[in-house]
Amino acid sequence: MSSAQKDPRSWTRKLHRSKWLIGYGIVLNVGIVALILANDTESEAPVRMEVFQRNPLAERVNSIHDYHSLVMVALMLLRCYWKSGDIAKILNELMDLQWRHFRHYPLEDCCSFDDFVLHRGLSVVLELFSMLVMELGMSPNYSPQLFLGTTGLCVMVLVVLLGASHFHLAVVYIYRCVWIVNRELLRFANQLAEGETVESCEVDRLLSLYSRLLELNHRLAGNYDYQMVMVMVSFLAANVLGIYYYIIFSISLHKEMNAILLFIVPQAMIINMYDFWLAIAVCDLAERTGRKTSTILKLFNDIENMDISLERSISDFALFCSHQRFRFRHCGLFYVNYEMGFRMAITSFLYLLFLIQFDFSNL
Amino acid sequence: MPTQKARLHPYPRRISPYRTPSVNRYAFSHETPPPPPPPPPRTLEHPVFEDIRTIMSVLKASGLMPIYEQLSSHEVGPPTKTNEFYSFFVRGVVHALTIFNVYSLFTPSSAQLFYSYRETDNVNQWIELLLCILTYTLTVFVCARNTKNILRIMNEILQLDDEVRRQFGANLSQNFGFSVKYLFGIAACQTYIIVLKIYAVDGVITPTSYVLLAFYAVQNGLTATYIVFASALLRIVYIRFHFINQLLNGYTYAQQQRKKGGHRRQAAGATLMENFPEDSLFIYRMHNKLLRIYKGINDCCNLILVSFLGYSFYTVTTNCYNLFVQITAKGMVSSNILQWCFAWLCMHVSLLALLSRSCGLTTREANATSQILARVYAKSKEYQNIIDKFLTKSIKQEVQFTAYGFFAIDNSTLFKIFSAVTTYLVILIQFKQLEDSKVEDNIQDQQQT
Repeated sequence: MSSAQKDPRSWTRKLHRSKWLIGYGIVLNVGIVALILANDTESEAPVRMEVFQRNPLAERVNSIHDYHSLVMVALMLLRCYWKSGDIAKILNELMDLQWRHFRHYPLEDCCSFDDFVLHRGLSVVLELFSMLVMELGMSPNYSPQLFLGTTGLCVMVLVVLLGASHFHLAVVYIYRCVWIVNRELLRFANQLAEGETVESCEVDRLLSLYSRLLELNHRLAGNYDYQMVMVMVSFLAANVLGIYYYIIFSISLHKEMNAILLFIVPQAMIINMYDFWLAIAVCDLAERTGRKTSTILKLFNDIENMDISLERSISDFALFCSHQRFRFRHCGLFYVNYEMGFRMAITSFLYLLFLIQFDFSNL
Repeated sequence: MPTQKARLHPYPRRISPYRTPSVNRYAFSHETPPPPPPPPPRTLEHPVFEDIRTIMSVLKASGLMPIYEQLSSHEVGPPTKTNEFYSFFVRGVVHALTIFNVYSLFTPSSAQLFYSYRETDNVNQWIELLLCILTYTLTVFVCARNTKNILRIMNEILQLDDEVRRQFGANLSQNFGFSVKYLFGIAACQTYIIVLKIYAVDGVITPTSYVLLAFYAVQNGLTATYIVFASALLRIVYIRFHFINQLLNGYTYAQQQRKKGGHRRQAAGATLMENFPEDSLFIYRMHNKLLRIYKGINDCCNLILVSFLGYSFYTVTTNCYNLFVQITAKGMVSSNILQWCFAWLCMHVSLLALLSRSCGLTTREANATSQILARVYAKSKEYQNIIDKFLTKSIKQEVQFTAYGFFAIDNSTLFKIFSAVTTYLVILIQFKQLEDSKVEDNIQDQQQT
């Protein structure tokens, strides 16, 4: 996290850890957590009190979610400090690759990359905004304690969001490199189809780049796996619980629609879902691009009279692609792609149903 | 690419699933004057789309398909300005009607359409209507956006057919009678449902309700038609995959053993395999192109399929639930509601079956190519290189027809949907029991006080 600093003097820029920054980060974060715990006015909000009085189950679930969030923040920070050396190495290697090999290719038409970076930034800003609206909009009386608590919470949320964003931005960088490799391969296929010659060493170079990217990808996913699992679980739980409270509040308490019901809660849920989906979309994007490499390699099938060494290089590449793929598997639990995202959404809907059914007599 | 030399040996006979029973390979020997192309001129006019003309004209009239121009027997061009304007106009009318419908859904004027004996059923019907509107609107939007892609896919199919005809003289067409049957079935189902609904409403029906009902039927019908169209397109791709698989099958070890019969192995084997190198290149290229078309179709109707499957799933679940409620209710079985549920169930289940079957068939055929090629491998050493080229690139590369990457659509989808329907049905029934017991509790409480 904040432990990496840039050294502008060296020619190829390099990231390395600073022990002082790590110490500073630990002290700062512990301080913020203490600040939040000392100034926790959230539980006094009347809306929540009403819901919890009506529905004791909601209170239990909510406290579990709170503990989970606390554990998530602690684990995220600790693991980031612990793994910061590895992460710095990975980022250095990525920068090195970018500087040595991919710098020469035009990057203007990689729209998905730009889109994603913009979306990611937007989502962080929106999350913070929705957090602020949530905290300030639901409490009736403003006190300095509330502001302190809210600031601390926002900083913690920012920590989590930025930690997740680092991973996603690294993934999207890797995606762009793979995309360039794909484009080069496609160019070769077109050249061969038009009767021009392609050097086999060019293909070999692409293969070596591809394998390095793949390895970086695995290492990156390995370093971020616990954090990402925690973040995803937390987002899903927040969504399920949000909808659950909403239902309790609007149906079983028979409230009429007001600002809280119409705007504050829905916006928080929508932004949450957007963020969650973005996290899945970027992994899916990288995975799809990796699959596309194999499809492009199939185009070399119908070329007549191909050079033997070139053919061997292409076969090498194809075999490599079929046995090693761009996939994100967190903690060996699940692959992150659209399929998994869909299943997660379905499952959270089912849990919502179970929660409601479990508590039906209160409705 | 046409072969440049006469082939001395008859091309291995295939069991042809198409109208042309067998293919004459001599038609392409350039030494003898080429005979006129065998297929009848009628199919030359519209090589592919003759088969699904009815469904295409329905889609064209409703603005879901561009009214393309036919440039030649293997190329279609973009629509003319007038036709484009027509499609645009129809889509505008559709959106206007949709807005009107949503408006009337939220005002009490439509309340007479939703009568029921319980509150939850009304909500269910309401959601069903909204889902239907959403699905259809999405279909119209996606179709409007994908006009160019659809034309590109059609051109690619036509081009591929043209190449096949020049190379093998085979005219790939099949009887797409199922599409017309489905079209009639959908129309009949929708009319029946409307008539049932009109009979069920008591009192005079306002014009707003008539508009609402009619448009609802049209929306349902057109969404269903689009699904049938997608299945027909997939069938078209399936036939082409099947064709190249049959071609390759002729070269497999087992087939050739059977064909040779009494001949001596060495001589016959060499001659039968003579055309393999050039045919294989052609087949590889065809396979790549077909995969591209397959992917293109998937990209075009991704979103539509997701929303249709969601809508269909919801409809099937609620109708099953209604049926259950009707059957278990004591003494008050309404034949109207029973018929209504059965009509909906029939329509959606048959559409789901059609869609998943077409997807499953095409996917299986696309993945079968490498398996068949692997059987050619045993044939002879000199061609192993050619086969290796394909096989190395097909290891673990199964293609799938997916709904936006969420899940693969094939025969297993049908099973998954029905198991999900059962799960949700159980949950709904549990809810109903809870609701009933709560009502009983309330009554008891009131009696005690």
